[in-house]
Amino acid sequence: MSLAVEVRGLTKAYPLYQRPVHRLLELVLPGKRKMHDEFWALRGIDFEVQRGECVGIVGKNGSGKSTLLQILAGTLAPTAGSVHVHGKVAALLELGAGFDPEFTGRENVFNYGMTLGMARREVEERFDRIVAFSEIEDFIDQPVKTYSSGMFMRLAFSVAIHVEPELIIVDEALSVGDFKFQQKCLDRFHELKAEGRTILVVSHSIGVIQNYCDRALWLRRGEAVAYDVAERVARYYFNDYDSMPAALASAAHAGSTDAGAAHAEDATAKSVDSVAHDVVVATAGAAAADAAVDAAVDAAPTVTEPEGFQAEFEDSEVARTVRFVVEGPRGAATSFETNDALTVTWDVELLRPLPNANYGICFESTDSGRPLFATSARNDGVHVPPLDGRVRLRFTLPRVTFLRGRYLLRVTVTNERGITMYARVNQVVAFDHPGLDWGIVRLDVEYEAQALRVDTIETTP
Amino acid sequence: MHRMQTPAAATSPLAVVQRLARRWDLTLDLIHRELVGRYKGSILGVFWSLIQPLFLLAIYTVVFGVVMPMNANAPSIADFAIFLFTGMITWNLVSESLGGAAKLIVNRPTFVKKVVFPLEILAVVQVGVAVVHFFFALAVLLLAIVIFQGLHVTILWLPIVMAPLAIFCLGLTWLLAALGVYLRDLSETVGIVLMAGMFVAPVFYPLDGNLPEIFRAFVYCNPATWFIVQMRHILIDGVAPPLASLAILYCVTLLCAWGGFAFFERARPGFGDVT
Repeated sequence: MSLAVEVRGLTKAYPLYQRPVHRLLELVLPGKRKMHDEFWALRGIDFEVQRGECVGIVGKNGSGKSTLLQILAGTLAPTAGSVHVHGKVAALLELGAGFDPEFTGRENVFNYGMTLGMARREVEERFDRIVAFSEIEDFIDQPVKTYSSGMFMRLAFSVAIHVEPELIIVDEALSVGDFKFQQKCLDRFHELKAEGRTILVVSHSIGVIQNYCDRALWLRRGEAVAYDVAERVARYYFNDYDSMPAALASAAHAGSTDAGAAHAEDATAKSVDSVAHDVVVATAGAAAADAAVDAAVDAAPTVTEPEGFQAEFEDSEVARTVRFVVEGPRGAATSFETNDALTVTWDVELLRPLPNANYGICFESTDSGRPLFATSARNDGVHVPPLDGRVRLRFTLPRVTFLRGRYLLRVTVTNERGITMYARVNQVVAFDHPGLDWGIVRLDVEYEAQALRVDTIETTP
Repeated sequence: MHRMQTPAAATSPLAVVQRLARRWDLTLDLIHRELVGRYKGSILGVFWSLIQPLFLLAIYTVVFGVVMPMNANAPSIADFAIFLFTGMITWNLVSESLGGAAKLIVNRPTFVKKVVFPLEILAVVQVGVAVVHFFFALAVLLLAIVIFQGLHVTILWLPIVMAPLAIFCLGLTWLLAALGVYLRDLSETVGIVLMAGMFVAPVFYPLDGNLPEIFRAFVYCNPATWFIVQMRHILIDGVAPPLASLAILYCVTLLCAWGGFAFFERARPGFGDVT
């Protein structure tokens, strides 16, 4: 097999320019005068992709995935390192970039196809297939502005996968259309792969990574945590581990991290059974685990201690935050342990009296934004006096049972029915938990194990 | 295999032509899109691109031909209108090409970052649209000339005379488009220069002894001046263009286009960082 992509020491620093003109001066002026600050989006990435492989790229938002894809696609220039891409590339970094809503589907298919590198003749040849795949035959001569967003995406996607490139780069474009269409796209990827085309895909779907990718590259803060068999990487990534256990990270020839090594050291002390159980539950689809995975699993995750999270204030013309403190048993903090008490003290200045206000607190998942718990004073039957001038609001939670992870704590002052928001503070808080129990909240469990004689067993009818 | 560490590909004059030719399909489609897209949904459609200059012509004819006559040589209003329109459409080719040039790349961040797009053809599209509009207007002008004056055989020189102007505009468009990414004040500046340029060119008045000497020097500095004068020669007076000047102009404008392209390519790696 030959190489489709070869990346060596790839580094991208986003220059942060005070003014665009500084970038020009750097390009044009002789000498190497630096006129910018830098943000390191990628550091020393090494990996290679064989022809016909499908490689998944995982990582949280801001980990450098999109930057990597853009460099591979050639729309961004790397700062250092080398990138070799062999063959014709089609990049689906943003579906339908260049679609003109005033033109018909047919006209846009031609334009988009040619934008992606096809000749007019080639688009003509493939036109019927493109339209058939997108399933919008009846609307192809209507202006695209009359399309639903799903139709728009389907058409764009359909054009893009008919370019027949040797390397296809897909950035989260798989969330296209309904379930059935997604399945069709994945099947099409399978076909393309079988034809020997190489696919690089960013996905947040564990199913896509595990079932469609051969290998996966895990990026964190611009560095490669692991580059290994997709199933293995997916297991660790989707279990929200901060790094790959060392046994795996070193097996991957792309970057290992110090954190990974640290995990391996205290690995042996832990009980294998209890943790391994969790992993099997979490990745039920990946039954074919090999011994290396199982052995490395007992590297219990540790929280990388946050340096304190900044609160985010949202004021209005009616109210503004004067002071905001979150306290735990050890004073002001943004990091807690499960079962800690938590107190929020929030001083708000009201610029006009609010006779019928309400104030509340909620926790949300930092990953999905899904509310985990929300309530308010009025909801809990607490009398809220008319608010005016400076007011101190206090929320006391004697025992917060969140398990290891980060949560968005949010307090609000609203009108009586909670519809109009006057002031809000968002504060990320981290919880750590020394135990091996797993999930979102700690629930109290009472255990009992009792020997029963066979003749005393009561059966439910 | 291609190496992407240096996105700036070959820029030898031959390579430039080859690169542009390879994306000719897309270029034509984008030109068509520009021409038609602007008027999608309107009743008169693409005719608007003709109505607007004709309306301007009517205004200018009344103001500079009747209210305060600027060309004593034109015996009738029709003659003055033809004289004026010849200058106008020539100048419009320049102003339309360069008008949006500085915003050409800046206004299309998705083309810079989200697709592998041959950005260099955007300048060709811009100038191409201006050329098509020029020919629309030229059709009307020729009709008027046939009716009021009669055509000269020297009209056959027209494509040969106008080509260097389009080539020159193309080079300048590449330059301005690349500079405009980094210098955000450029677009406004170009707008002002173009506005002034129309009056510092012999559009409304002939280049004759009535012009103050100092002002005439300015007018000669305007690159469009030579072309406006020659257009009037071949269309109205039936005089062929000077071949030596024409040959030099071809050399200069081709060099200018190539220089603009080379600069565009040089500046290109930074587009993604600042758009």
